[in-house]
Amino acid sequence: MIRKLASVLAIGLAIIILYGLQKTRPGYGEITSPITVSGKAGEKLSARNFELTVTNIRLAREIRLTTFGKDRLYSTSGIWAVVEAEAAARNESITLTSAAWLGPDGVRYDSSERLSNAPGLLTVQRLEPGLPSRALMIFEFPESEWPGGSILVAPTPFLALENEMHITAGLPDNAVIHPTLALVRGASSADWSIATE
Amino acid sequence: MPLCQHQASATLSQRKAKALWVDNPLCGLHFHFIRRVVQLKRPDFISYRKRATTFVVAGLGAGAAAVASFSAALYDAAHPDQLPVVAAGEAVDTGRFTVTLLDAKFGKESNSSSSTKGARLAVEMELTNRSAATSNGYMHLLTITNAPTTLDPPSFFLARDNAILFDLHPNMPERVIATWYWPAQAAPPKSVEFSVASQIHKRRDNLYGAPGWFDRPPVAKVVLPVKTEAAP
Repeated sequence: MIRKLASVLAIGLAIIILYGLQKTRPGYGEITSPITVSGKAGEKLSARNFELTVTNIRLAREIRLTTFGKDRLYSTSGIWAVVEAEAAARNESITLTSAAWLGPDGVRYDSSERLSNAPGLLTVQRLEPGLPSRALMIFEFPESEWPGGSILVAPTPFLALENEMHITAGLPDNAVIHPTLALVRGASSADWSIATE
Repeated sequence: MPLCQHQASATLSQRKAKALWVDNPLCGLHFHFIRRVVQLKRPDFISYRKRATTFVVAGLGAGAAAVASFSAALYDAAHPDQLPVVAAGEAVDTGRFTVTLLDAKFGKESNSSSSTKGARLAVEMELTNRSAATSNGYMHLLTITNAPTTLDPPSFFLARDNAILFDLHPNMPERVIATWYWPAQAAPPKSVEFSVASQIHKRRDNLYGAPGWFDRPPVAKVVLPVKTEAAP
């Protein structure tokens, strides 16, 4: 009788412990998530395979870009963030295919593919070790997401345990949202300048 | 004197216990007690009978469960749930996205560069990504259920730019035009009927315990009248 009671109790205890473990231990998504390298805009950050400095962040309601001789105005229901950076590989050539804007509530806005013809886009540029090059990231998100936002950069969006940079944008409270920003192509395909209109 | 002296037999020697077993083989209590003292060599028919009974009962139970679940599945398949019919212009919550079907046009699309013989069905809708990350999962939301033939998956265009749509960002509603290529030999549609699929988010899936979006059965049916446009 006591032995039966004891075994029932043991099974009950095991169920409680296992349930507790299931609820409190990190899940598969967390244990295979990217390894964060944190920093602020303006700082030079180094991950295992790449280094990157965010040099400038501009907000705008519209972006003007000339593609194949056609002048186009890109509108959005939110706002655009045009982020300039300097990036280089460290050990071997690399393309950082994942760039995202992380809102203050943890909502993730991947870099926009609408301006896929823009010059010097980070996500299509091949970076070489020791040769820092300018890179452009363009994000689109609701206006409420810019205060407290940060920029996430990683070699791929899916690879487990790869480094992901977590760069606090640190925009001032009175950051200007330009009505229109013009992306002006420079001499080469990876060269540009930004004009406010 | 009781039929079984199992209390007294606690002090019996193994030989006596064996003898008792022979005398009184059908006493259950006694039998269990002796079995703990003496390893029986002879076939244990009572135990076999019990095991057989257990097997049969368990088998019947499992069989009953299988029959019940199979017939429930059969019944469900024979009586599919009537999907709620949602009017055009009304939002459908599909879990990951909210979709509002607005209108449908049939004819040669002005933004189509191909000069194929077939025409196109262009369906305008408003899509909102309700999830916490940018996604292109809207592509499998809509299925035309009254298509004359099997249709290729549609192309999606962003109405704002008239450009191909890739991803939808969270909480940014967009006007989107989905375009189905309509085979030339198929009759032009008078109205199109859509079933709207759904997805749910699981924090931990059943295989890895990883978070993800998983398909669920359709949640709504939408019927849109089709405006036919004369070929330009």
